[in-house]
Amino acid sequence: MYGSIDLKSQKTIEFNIYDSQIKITKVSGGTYRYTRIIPEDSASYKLISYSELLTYGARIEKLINNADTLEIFPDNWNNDPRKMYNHLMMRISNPVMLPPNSGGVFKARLLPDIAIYIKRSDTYSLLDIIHSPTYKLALYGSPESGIIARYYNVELNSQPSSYSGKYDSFSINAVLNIANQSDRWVTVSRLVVPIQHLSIYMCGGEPPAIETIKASIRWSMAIGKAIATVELDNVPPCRNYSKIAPYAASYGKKTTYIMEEGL
Amino acid sequence: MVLDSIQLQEATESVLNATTGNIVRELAALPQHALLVAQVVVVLVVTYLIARKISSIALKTLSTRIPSHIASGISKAVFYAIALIGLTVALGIAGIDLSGLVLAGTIGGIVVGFAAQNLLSNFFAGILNYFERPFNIGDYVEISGDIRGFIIDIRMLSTYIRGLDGEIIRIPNNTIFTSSLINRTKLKTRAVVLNVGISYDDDPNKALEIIKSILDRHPLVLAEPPPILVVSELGDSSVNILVKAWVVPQTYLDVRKDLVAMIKKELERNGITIPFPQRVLHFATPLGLEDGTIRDKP
Repeated sequence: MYGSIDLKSQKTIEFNIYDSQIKITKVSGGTYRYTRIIPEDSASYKLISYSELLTYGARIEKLINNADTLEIFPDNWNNDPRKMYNHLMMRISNPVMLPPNSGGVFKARLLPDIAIYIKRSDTYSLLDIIHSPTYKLALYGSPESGIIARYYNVELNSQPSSYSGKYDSFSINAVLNIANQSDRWVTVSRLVVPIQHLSIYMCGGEPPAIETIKASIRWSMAIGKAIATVELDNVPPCRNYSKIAPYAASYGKKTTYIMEEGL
Repeated sequence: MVLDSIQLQEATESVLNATTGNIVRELAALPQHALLVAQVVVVLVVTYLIARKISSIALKTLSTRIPSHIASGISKAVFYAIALIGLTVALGIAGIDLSGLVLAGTIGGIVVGFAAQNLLSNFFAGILNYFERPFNIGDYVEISGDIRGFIIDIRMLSTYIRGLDGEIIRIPNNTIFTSSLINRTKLKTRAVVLNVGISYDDDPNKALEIIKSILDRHPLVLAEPPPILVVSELGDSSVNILVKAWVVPQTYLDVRKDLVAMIKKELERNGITIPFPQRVLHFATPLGLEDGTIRDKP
């Protein structure tokens, strides 16, 4: 679950995020030891490079000084230490067929990476990123000119479906506003979303949600297929929303992506 | 005696007249010489200033587009080319016959050309390599199939590679230009290719399922394009399965290491044997086997 952990109230705090075991122990005064043990059969373990594994093993250990609170938020994909992608690719397992000049709002559930921040008065500093067990990458386009994107296999629904996995409490919603502006039927089986400056909102009692993603589809006569302009709409996806403070600086400036390799 | 004296006087007068005439003529031509010298000096100075300005502009313009060492080389070449033109013009103004110099220069040029053939070919290959851009610093390349490593520096005459064992390899640019070169990092993806042999007694479909599940679970194996997994060959000792998984190039070694270990572990855990080469031998005469032990024939 997302939220705050008051470090001062307990001597030892233990909890699990996905398959990682996390332990925070008070060392002395305002100093704490943060330890995360990564199991060998987890996706996170495979993401540790061989040289890191030889140097540090499957254990992350950090000393925290003068901190009051830890905050656990879904990560907005911009903090992945490997820095291999700037886009999300959502492969839609139940492709959507849209008639000419129509549109719809669809919802999807996905498991994000989870960021742990140290909060000191009003400043946040990133302590650790715990990768999603569904971590996958994909190539969109050709190997010469395509892009590497973070991959999610999602199911679209008109209402948010419950995530029937073991990690339901960490899942977040994505709201997709898809508009077919062409005069043909189009089938949407994937969307590529730029993640620079992506915002995630906390939604009261509901799961957190990514800001609304807007996809405008048109027909390209030049390449003979439908292409889409995908952008982050900077629209809160839920009613009782609150901004996630560390991402506040990202709000406003948005990037668009044109899916020229088709949908 | 009187005659001698008159002759001497006449001779002296004639010499004096000639000398005076020359001096007068020279003095009369002095402004013309000064003008010539001034013209030569002006041409040389103006040429120098123009050459300096143009080479400086060339350096500034090229530095933002090509590596600084190549930009610096080109700018120096521009400077000397303009200076040479200026010098030629100045010598022409001074009335010096250039035909001898041209001949000497041509012969000298041929000699220097032969002597510096390799240097020049490496220099131009460096420029062509730059414009063709077959690699960038940090790329992993294979040159002529036997030199492998990461590009660490691209210089005017040669390129430096850090080999896989940590050695520094210097390769003349011309060698790179004329050799086959594989750049493993230029594309967005690279394939990890494995050949997995399983026993003839095992079910290849079961092995395919196990390997597919490993590829699906590994976070760094790309979901798209999907991995290729086929029974590729009926080998001498095993049924061979070809595994081709796409990865981001910088994760290649980590993924390869993981996949080899995971496939071996999972196949063995599921009772699938990875056989070693076996050979069946037929003997012309039967071996005297007793209790499985070979005995010498009496």
